[in-house]
Amino acid sequence: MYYDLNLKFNNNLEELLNESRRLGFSGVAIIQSSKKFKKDYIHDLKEFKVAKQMDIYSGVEIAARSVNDLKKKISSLRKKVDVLIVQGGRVKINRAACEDPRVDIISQPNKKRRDCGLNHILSKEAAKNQVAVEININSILQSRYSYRSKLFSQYRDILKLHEKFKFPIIITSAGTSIYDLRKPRDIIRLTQCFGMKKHDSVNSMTNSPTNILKRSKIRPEMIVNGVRDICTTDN
Amino acid sequence: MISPQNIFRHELIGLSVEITESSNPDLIGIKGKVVDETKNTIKIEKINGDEVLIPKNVATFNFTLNGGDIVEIEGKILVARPEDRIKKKFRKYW
Repeated sequence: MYYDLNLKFNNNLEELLNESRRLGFSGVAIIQSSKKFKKDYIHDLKEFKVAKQMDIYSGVEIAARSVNDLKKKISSLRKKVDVLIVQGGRVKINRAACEDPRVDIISQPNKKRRDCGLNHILSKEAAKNQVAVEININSILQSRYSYRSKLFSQYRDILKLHEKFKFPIIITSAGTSIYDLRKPRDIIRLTQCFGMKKHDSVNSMTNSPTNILKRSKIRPEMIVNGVRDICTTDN
Repeated sequence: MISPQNIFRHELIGLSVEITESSNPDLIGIKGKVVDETKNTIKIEKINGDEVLIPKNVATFNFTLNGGDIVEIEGKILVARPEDRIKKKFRKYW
């Protein structure tokens, strides 16, 4: 059961879904940008889900300018979608995302940076709040020469932190067209280029996404951290 | 009035309880009524009349409220003296 929780929303969505199904993904999340978020679109996804017989989830990617902006967007969008991704890059945004248990995935914490964007403090927070760190296949495919090797070294740093602090890692394609998608086995081989072990790669495409989706399913029942309303009788 | 929104701050004595998860497998399935509570333990009176002392921080409890609501609570968040739990801070977001 392989999942790809970051497929970008575009006009020929049907083609993208058909292709990801053909490649062997049993579930995908279609991610909208927080700037152009449309709620009606989530209803369309439900129709697709029935037609394609595939697990299709809705998601949003938040690109925030400041921590306050990020928190505002998280509170307004969290209940509307299944998967909430925060676009990382800046130190403060990375930290705020790792500290917030409502965030599912932090995407590209190393974006436009020389280091990997995480440190031991952020890693501990991410592990505590179950925020998954994304390894983006599209950024590898679209980079060349020294940029690609730099990206590999950043991913190696993330993996070192993952081994020590055990925060979840998730591999996504972040594809916008069918040409950005790859088979899960190809992705596993590709991740071995920067030292990811096979069972880690498999886990990050099977267990980590499943845990995120499970968490999002029971989120409405949670009252505070550790207290869950299982059965309510309306009298 | 005890409700799912305030049970973790409320008095637990008198409620029906079942242990659903625990690091000690012998505790799983214990069912009964809460008869006493300390900072780290809960005393449960089983249906056959036996009393067992359960450490809070290793178990997950399902409390049945008077209205019939069932609430699952991780024992870790109950670790405090009952009179102090009212002023304890709980993480709101999840």
